[in-house]
Amino acid sequence: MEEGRSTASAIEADSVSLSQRRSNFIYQFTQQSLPACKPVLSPVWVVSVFFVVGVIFIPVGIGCLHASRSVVEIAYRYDVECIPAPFRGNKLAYIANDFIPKNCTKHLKVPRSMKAPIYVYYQLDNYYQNHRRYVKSRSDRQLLHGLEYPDIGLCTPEDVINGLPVVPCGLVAWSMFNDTFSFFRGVHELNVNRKNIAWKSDRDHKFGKHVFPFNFQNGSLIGGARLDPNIPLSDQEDLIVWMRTSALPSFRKLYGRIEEDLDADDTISVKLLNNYNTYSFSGSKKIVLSTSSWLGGHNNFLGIAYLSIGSSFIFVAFLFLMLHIQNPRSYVDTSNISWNWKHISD
Amino acid sequence: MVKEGIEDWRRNQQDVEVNNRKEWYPVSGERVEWSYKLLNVLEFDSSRKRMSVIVRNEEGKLLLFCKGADSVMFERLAENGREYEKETREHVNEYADTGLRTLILAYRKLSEEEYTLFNEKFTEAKNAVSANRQELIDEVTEEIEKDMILLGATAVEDKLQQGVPECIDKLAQAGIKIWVLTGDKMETAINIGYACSLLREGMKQILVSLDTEEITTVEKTGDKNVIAKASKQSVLQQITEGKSLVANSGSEAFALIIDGKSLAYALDDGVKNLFLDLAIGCASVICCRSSPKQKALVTRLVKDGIHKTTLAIGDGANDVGMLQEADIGIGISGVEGMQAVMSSDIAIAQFRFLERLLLVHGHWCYRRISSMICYFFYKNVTFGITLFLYEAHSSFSGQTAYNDWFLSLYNVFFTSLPVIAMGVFDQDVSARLCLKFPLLYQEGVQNSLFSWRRIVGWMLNGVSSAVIIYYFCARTGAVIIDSTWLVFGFGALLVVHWSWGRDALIFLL
Repeated sequence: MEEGRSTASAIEADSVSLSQRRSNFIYQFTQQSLPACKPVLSPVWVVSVFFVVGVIFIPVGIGCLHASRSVVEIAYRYDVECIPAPFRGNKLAYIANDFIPKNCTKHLKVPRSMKAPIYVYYQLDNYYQNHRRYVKSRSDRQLLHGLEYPDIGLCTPEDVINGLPVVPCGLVAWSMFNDTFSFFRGVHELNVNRKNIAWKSDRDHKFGKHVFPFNFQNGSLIGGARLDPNIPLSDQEDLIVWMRTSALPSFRKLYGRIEEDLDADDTISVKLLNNYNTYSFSGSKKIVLSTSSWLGGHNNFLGIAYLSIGSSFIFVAFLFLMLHIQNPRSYVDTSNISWNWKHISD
Repeated sequence: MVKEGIEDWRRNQQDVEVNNRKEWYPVSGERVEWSYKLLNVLEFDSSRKRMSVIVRNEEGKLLLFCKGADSVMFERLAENGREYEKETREHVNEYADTGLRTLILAYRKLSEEEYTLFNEKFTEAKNAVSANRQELIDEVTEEIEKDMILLGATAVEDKLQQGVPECIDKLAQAGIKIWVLTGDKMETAINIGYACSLLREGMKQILVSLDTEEITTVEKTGDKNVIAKASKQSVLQQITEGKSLVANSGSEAFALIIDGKSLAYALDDGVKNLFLDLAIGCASVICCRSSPKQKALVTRLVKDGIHKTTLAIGDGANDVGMLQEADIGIGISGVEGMQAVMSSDIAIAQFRFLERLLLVHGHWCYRRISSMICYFFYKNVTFGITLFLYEAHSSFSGQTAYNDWFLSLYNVFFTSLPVIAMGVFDQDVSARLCLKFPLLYQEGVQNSLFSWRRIVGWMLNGVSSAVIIYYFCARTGAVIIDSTWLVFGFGALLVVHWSWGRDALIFLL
């Protein structure tokens, strides 16, 4: 009996070294014990990690919040304001009627000094540019190759008008935004740079340099802007900006940049043409002037998020510290290991 | 090299030739050979428990040689053939006590007419195609295997495989209950039980057998019904006694040892629940002299009665029924042929490999499967719910938040390889530690990693991940957002959120 046991254990020891030799490499590959810090979740570690992360997040949050707050933004909703009084009751008739002049002048007050470049955006709300049918209604190949590319079936109903194909086809291009804005400080007109507002990659690779608008907005229903048929698509930056469909129903698109500084308490007059129809679906239009920081536009969310996470981490660290002081559990104490619980009794 | 005794020289379908090594012709120097013509082989059967051959020797005499278990052979001896019966019985018991497998040998001379008659009937029975073919054969062999003259007894050491006691010890430590179902005699089985540490010193043995005096007297009457009734009564009584013994004792360990005859009555409908209760109350159970059918029936009784996973391990053709009946059947490939291996779910080469199979691979496998399943649900829930939330912002038109390629390849590239790597490679403790602490196996037995609480927890984690990811991206990107940014934002935040959030949840839970 004893003999059997000793030989068995000898064999076991032998097999351990054998298997170790054989599968050492595989074990190291699959079990990847990298020489890294592998924290056992002891109270000391947890409290310190939470505290440290909290302490790091709070300044980051403050930084983000500061950046966001340093951005000066003027947003003005003009679509209701710009309807003349007699037409307030029947907005659709107003917008559809080409003979009613759509000029509108509004005044904006600059709250704080704004440094160039100042970005001019138009913001649309309740406009579902991410609607499935809308997003599909375009032909990227046609934008690049023009009339040579005939397969534009997805663009219905805006693919063929009077038997001739439409370039650019589809609902996205057809519904292009066509309000225009010009800005004045007193008498002096502010120069709005309308070049370089689209993505460079779009200008170079997505819209053809030799593709010209053809048969565009020729149908009975006018959806938006008309395009100059003499300018190639790659230079039609408003179209390019519009064709980048937005993911959410409330979005801004770049209109241009103002390259001058604006001082605090300046009054900027906006002369705009209220052409675009957002009245039939209760959408809204806003004109936005905004500076930008290293974090982008005016968005408090990131700063608030970091601050709240950081402060909650510090709170949790404090809470765990209190709990640990109240119920300290040393490493040697095994009564809480799961197999020492009462109900596992076998 | 054999120096003495009879040597098997040559054998084919018709002939057997044996040599005597010690004798040889003085002149020619050749060895003395005896050759026999093989006429019939009456094959071994686990119900008959014996086998015979009928041969004709060189002088033309017909002989029947028979070997079998002692319980059936002693009954079949002729009155004048029992010359050394008492001593042989003693010897056989001695052998059995030392753990050897015993056989009794006997022979008989046959006359020509007897043989021709027998041969006719035997061939007829063997050629029968009806359902009771076996019974016909048994009848015929019954007639001729009687009135034999005792030749002697043999004992063979059936060595226990290497590492078996340690293996059984480890499995018992892991909380696995072990029963032994064998065809050996009771003494042999008890001996083996002590050898492999199933029976320990200090364990009380409860024996249930029909070898008592009253039963033997009843059996002598020959009336089948009376025997059956008395046997059943006796078995029932022994089982009830055993139960009360177990119930009244405190912390003592009990071992139940029951033999084949009693097992036949103990598996009857009225008695089997009592039997099961008694067996569960004992630390070890040994069923000796059990036929293959009984092995299967006992396995089924345990499986259906306790509703826990049963594993059967065996190496011979007589274990096939048991292997197929159990939830998991493991066949050991080796000396006894490949029958067990062919009818098993898993085949191993030695018994001791079972230890590693269960404690290491079983343990890892359970962990891997349970965490992989939960992880799969988590990642798909997260993915799906972000899409669902996006619908509210896209006018419920069915527009997806992600690029088409990203949708298709999410499950293929982005999330399959890490999950599969975890499912294939994950080891919570090394193999050495799994073997060192067998109680870790209980984690799988009690299904502690796949409870409803855990599954629901993972799902809710998925939902909260999805909500956090979506609103973080949507609000961070605010109004200057494009669908491509949503994708990258989702991906990055998924990675960031996963590690710290999960660690915090682990600590909290």
